[in-house]
Amino acid sequence: MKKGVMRPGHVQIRVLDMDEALIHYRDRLGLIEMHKDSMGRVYLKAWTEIDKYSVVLREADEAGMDFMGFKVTSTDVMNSLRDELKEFGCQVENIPAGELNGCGERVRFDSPTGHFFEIYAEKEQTGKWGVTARNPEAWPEDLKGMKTSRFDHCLLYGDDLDGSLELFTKVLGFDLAEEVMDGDLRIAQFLTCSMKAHDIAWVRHEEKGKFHHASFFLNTWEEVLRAADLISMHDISLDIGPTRHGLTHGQTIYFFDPSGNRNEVFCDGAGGNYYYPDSPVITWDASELGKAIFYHDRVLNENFLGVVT
Amino acid sequence: MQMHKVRCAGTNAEFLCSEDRPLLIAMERQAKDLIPVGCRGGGCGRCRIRIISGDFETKKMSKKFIGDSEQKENLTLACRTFPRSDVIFELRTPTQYDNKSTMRAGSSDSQRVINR
Ligand code: FES
Ligand SMILES: [Fe+2]
Repeated sequence: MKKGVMRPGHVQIRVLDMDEALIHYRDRLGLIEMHKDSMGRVYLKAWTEIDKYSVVLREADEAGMDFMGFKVTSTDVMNSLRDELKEFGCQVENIPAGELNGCGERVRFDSPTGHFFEIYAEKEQTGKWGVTARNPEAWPEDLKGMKTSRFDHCLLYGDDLDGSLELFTKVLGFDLAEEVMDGDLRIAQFLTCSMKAHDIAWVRHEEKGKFHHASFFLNTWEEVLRAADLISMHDISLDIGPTRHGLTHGQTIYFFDPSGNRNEVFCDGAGGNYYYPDSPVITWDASELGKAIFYHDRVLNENFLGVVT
Repeated sequence: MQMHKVRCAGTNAEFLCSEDRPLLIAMERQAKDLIPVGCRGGGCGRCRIRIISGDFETKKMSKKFIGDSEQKENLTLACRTFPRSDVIFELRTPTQYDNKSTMRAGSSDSQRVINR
């Protein structure tokens, strides 16, 4: 049941070197640099997003994800979800408005898999970048690199998948869209709060709180191939692809930012991967795991499973 | 650009690396498989080694894998390490990479089945 959570709104990623990271996220992925705050964090957005930013980069001594934030429909929704999060047993912290530039109050909470999340209701809206809200043109001409159109989802690695599933479905109103089952054990879960195939996903892993990738949306397979060309042209660290997933059937390529955080750009090139509240859960058997992850190779790549930040 | 020899301790396995290229990338380009490859960005720790002899310089690396004590022992991440002389190294892969992730462990049989 929907509880007022609209979409993934932002992700704060730790990078080792801000200059290198900016070249990657701005000039290669094609995000637009929107702001730099007094802590040195850099804020970027993909061009179709209406809010001011979706990616926040923080220079740090370790790579990884600080937190992922979801935008909810109203402050009332945020306040009632805060109570429910506490009741569920989350450690809840109120982050005052303005701590992230242009963002209202945020409610930060931990999760059974050891990741930190936030909900918030307000963020400055600058509108889609490069086009007007009135009689808009189709797309802006001066986008860079891969021209990614939106921040789409994160895939996280952690231990207590059942706990995070319960938190996100019961408290936050997400639905389980796809899963991988090894007998009774759910080893991967893809959750949605929208019509998208997934807004957040987890894979079971011994360590808590690991970051597998942040994913950005492209429109076509042609654009995925073009991204692959850019990855070679600029000697970006490639993980795997271009290929197709079995899970969600997205067409995809994985690569790493200069600090070793994995990124994905993908398009939903099968046509059937949207979600309605009455869509049945799609289950993949662990015996088909290779095909579930990499639909063409049908074999898992060691790094895709083991390398996380 | 000066080329240096990079050798794995106790073996004859070696590759060449110029001063402007990280060890790990030079190794991959020569199609050698001496050091495990992960993110190539100093973030995941998969390529951790110890330099037994030789001079080198590094770019910034995740403190999680190369803290101050590791740095003193000449541990380093091959993807962020540039040779300044011939170098001999040994593998120091972090222990989390010995442990199979649950996804892998849980499906080891099935993986064998799906391998073409
Ligand atoms: S390959 Fe990830 S730290 Fe070197
Ligand atoms: Fe993804």
